[in-house]
Amino acid sequence: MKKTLALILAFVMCLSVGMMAFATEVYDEDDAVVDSAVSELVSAGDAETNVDILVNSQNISVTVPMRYAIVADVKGGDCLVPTDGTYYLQNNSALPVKVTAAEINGMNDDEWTLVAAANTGLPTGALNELYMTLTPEDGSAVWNLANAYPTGWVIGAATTVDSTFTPTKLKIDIDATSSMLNSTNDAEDAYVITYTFAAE
Amino acid sequence: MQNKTNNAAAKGQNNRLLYAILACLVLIIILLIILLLHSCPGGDHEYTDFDRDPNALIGQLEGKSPEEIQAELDRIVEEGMFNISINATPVFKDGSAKGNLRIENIPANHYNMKVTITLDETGEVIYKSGIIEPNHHIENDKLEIVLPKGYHAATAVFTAYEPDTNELVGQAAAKINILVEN
Repeated sequence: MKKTLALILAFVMCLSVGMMAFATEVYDEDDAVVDSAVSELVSAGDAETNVDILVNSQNISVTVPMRYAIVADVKGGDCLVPTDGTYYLQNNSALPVKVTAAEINGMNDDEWTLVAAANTGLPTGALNELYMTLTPEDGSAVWNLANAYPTGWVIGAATTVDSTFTPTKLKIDIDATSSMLNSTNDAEDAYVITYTFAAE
Repeated sequence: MQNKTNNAAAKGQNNRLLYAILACLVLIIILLIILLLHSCPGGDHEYTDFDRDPNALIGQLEGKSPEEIQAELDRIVEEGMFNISINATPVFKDGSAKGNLRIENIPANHYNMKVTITLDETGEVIYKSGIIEPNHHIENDKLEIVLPKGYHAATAVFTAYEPDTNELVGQAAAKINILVEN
């Protein structure tokens, strides 16, 4: 009985170490043992890498000033305007955006007339004229508000470096000159500028 | 009898004295009124070259310095900044399904917003949101019109409103391409 049990145990032991004893090691060209977890093509054959495509859609995200004010002197001349760099369009998107259209509408005060060039000095007939321009600081075309938007304003994509998000600003300088005025009434919402943006 | 006559005479004398005093008081009051009227501005007082101007008020003129006006102009721009955000290419499984519009009114905005989307080709309104308050967003929503399969160029107009008065503040727009897959 004891002999039979010893024989069985010896057989089991042989089986348990036999796997390791007869395992084949794989060597690479430099005779280094290749990790057994990595499969290697010894002969010509196929290996597969599955490629997944995840669809992402970007938001257009832009910050726009809804309002600005200027101060016109009753005697005419240069108007007080916001400090250069205060008025800007800001792109918070990961893609560049362009200003495809910009319109002046909703003129709630017909006392003022936008003109391509205001007559300063003593009135020669026309009063309450306003000459106003928006000049992008990046050198893009100047928009004389008496004319159509010149197109071509583009705002670069926002960037993220080392987890620091930085939006891109298109700073726009406002300049305005008025003729002499015949009214001292403040004009709220005299003009409304509406910008339209699109992915570049 | 004699006493009665004396009393009546004394009484008459007292009354006369009283009337005289009253008359004097009335005269004094009239004089004072005349004096006051003459000294008041706008009266018939004739000014000399060195009289104080009655319209001159104490203190300096009220108003803002050029620096204060400049700061106010800058503040108006800064407070009026408004962010618009929408998916540039929202996708709809089919014309009646919800699509990922991803409209956002960020917490930094001061205004409520409404979004209206119109088809560029026809000008047809295909989507209208309700009021979206700051720090709120619409992830997915249906269009009001069932669009056929394909790409559709559209314009999303964002309108900003004052939260307290619902007064319109301004508008900005974004061009988008709507994809209907089936």
